[in-house]
Order: sequence, then structure tokens, then C-alpha cells
Amino acid sequence: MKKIDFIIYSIIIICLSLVIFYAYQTDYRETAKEDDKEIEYISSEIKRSKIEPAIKLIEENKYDEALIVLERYKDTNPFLLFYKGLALYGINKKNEGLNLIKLALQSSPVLYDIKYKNNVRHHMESILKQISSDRDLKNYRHFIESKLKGGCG
Amino acid sequence: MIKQSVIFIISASIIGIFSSILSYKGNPINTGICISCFMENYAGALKLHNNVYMQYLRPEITFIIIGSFISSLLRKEFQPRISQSIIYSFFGGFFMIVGSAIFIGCPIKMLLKLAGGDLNALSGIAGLISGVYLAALLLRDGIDTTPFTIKKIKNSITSYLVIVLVIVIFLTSMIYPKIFAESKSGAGAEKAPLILSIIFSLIIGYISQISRFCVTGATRNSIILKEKTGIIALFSLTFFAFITNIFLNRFNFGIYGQAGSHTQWLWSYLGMLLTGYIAVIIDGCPFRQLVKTGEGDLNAQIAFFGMLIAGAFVQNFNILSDSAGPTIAGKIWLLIGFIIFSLITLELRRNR
Repeated sequence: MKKIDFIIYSIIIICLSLVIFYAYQTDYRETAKEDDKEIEYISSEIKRSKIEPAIKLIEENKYDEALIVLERYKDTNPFLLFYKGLALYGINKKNEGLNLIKLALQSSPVLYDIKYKNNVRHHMESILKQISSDRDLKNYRHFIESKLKGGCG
Repeated sequence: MIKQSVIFIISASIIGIFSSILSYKGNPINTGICISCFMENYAGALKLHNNVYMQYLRPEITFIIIGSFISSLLRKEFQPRISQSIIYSFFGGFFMIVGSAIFIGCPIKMLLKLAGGDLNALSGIAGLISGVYLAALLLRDGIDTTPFTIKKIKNSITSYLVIVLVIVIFLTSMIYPKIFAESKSGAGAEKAPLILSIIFSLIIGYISQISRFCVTGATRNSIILKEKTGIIALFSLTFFAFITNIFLNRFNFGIYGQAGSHTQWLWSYLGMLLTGYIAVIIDGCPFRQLVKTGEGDLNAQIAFFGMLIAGAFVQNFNILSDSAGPTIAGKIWLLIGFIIFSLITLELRRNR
């Protein structure tokens, strides 16, 4: 083996050993683990809490009142979109409501995340049940059912 | 010749059966094997995109390559090779994933969707056949083949680059899992047991290297050479996946309510048309590119990077379709793909 080759191989072996050593150190060092998911859940909770009064009204089937409350908010909160859609659907503005629901679900998958405790899956299942026989709403049915089932896309 | 045809059909059947089992055991619905979805997961695990629902270092990617590598070594077919068309390979890999993202699935998933009862896959199949047919017409009419002339090269460290890279990434993820991102819910969290994924992917990679199985290759040969083997193999893949789905109670027939699927058939058609067309130009669908990577094909290794970057790109720029259909960004990028490959076609024809 030539001298230069010997030096290159030595460098490779030294570097590899150091990589393993530092990786070992990094893995066992106490660090606050940043969990993107937890951050998203917490931020969702904050967004949801902002419209809590309206959500209560919707759960009591007081859709008109809920809409009045929701109209006061002007931000990009996905819960606002979803529940506004739900309220519109409740007062029989089905297409308008389902469009907003679709937009909310598309923009924030956390809404139907099975691991997020305040997810809206029960609302989605309820809508799905109601529109399952309506042929005009088959595209919404496909959308909601597909989102509930999961998979890629 | 007969032996090769039989192996081709057997490997397709094995992919069908194993894919359905992988999906049953935890991989997303109709996604036992889907190179485009898995590339998106892989890119996410490497933190190339930040969609927390699509991050998982899919062992299928790693072990299909390793399976092919082992097979090519044992059969003394490992041959580092390269052609001048590396830039086509990169953009080809990239836009095949874009096309697949519009359809939601690579050509293998397209057949698996059909086997799972999803009739929306039919538009994708029509698109893929059209794309392959267009490319076949082009080949028949004559193009400049200089960029595609394969040159064998000596064994070198670079011929093993991607193979070593995926192995090192996998081993690192086993020893230091915190380094990589991993979804806790969503499609990225839907996964079959690790050991099952490893064994099945190794077998799939191994046998696909022997048979040279490729969805678009099989379609191309059926169109140009009128070979029946390709069509039988694709039918076998779909049929055996269908039978396995029936047996595992995973068959859901219909158009609506299908997971990971949309009903905008025109865009599904166009997405698969682009994928099929490119796959013929760069010689292999996304799955075949992985297998060729294991054989020492440097063009396939470049295509691998194109696919990996596209995996991140489609997530970061909202190109991926969802059950509502393709996004505006998705439509724009698909059209850009058509423009780029039309220009490449013009160039290839001008220089013939």
C-alpha cells in the first residue's frame, strides 16, 4: 500500500470512529424532544377554545345562533371554517356548508386526526350518514368517507 | 425464454399477494407497495418536508434496493453502467412522482387500487396505456438514441453510492431513531410490522431483479412487441391481489368512498399519462428504477434522487391530490411536466 493511500484510509477510519462516538453522545444527551405533533395538538386546542361558545350552540342544534356568534370571528382558524360549515349545513344550506367543511378538512388534517382528542370525526360520520343517499352530494360523500378511512392523499 | 416469462409472471403475482398482505398488516389501504407514496414518506422522515402525517422511513424502499442488489451480486449481474441521459433520468424521476401524486399512486398502486375494488383506477390505467403508447409511437418513428446508449463502467465506489446510503440511513434509524421524523398518525403512521416489510421487500426486490418486472415495461412490450407475457403478468398482479383482498376481507367495490383516491378522472388520466410516457423514455417505472439502482445503474440512482426530491416537493408545494381531486399547484406542475417532456421529445426527434 502506498503511503498516501495509507493516510487516506487512516482518515476514513478516524472520521468514522468519531462519527459513531458523537452520534452515541448525541443520542444519550438529555434534550427536550420537540414533538411537531404535540405542538400541532396544542395549537389546535387554542384555536378550538376561541370558538368554544359557538361549538356549544351547534351541539345543542342552535345553528342560527351559532352562525351569529361565528360571524364575529375573522381569522383563518380551521375550526371556525368547519363549525361555520356545520352550522350552515344545519340550517339546510347544504352545499355551502359542505364546501366550508371540505376546505377546513383539506387545510387542517388535525381536525380528523384520530389521536387528537377533540377531533371532529363524529361530526363527519354523522354528516356521512345523512348524505349517504343523496346522489347530488356524492362527491362530498366520497371526500368525507375517504378522509375518514385514511390512506395517502 | 419461457423460463423468463414464467418468472416475470410469478414475480408480478408475488408483488400482488405481498402488497395486499402488507396493506392488511398495517400499510395504508391499497398501498402495500407504492413507490411514490413511500418516497414522500421517506423524504418526510429525512425532514425534507414538514407534513407530519407523511413521515416514515419506509423499509420497503431500502429493502427492494437491497434485494435487487443481493440478487444481482449472486447472479453476477451487478454491472455499473451509465448513459448520457442523466439529466433526463433526474427530471424523469421527478415528474413520474408528480404524475403519480396527481393520480395518488404509482403504477403498481394503480393496479392495487383496482384489485381493491376502486374503479377510479381505470382512468389511471387508460392514462398509463396512452402514455406508453405515445412513447412507443415515438420510439417506432425514431429518436436520437445517443443519450440513451448505455456504457458499462468499472466497479467504483460511486456505483454503490445509493445502495450504501439507504443501508446507512436504515441502520442509523435503528440505532438512533430520534434523528429521523416519524408520523404518529395519518398515512405515515400506517405501517406493516417492520420485520414483515423487510422480508417481503427483500423477496420482491430479489425476484424483480431476476424477472426485470416493470409495469410500464410490460405494457410497452405488449404494445410494441405484441408480447403476451407483460399483459398476463399485470393481470396476474391484479388478480392475485384481488383474491388476497377478498380472502382478507379488504375488497371495497365502487367509485365513491375509496381511500386515497379521487373522482377527477381526467386529471388521473393525465397524471398517469405523464408517468407512463416518462417511464418509457427513461426505461422503467418508479419501482423498476429502485430495482435498477440495486443493479448498479447510475441513471436509476440519479432517478432515485429525482424521485426523492419530488417526494418532498409535492408535499411542500401542495402538489399532491387528495380525495377532493388535484390542487391548482398540482395541475400547474403536471402541465409543466408535459411542457418539459414535450421539449425533450422535440429535441430527441430533431437530432435523430
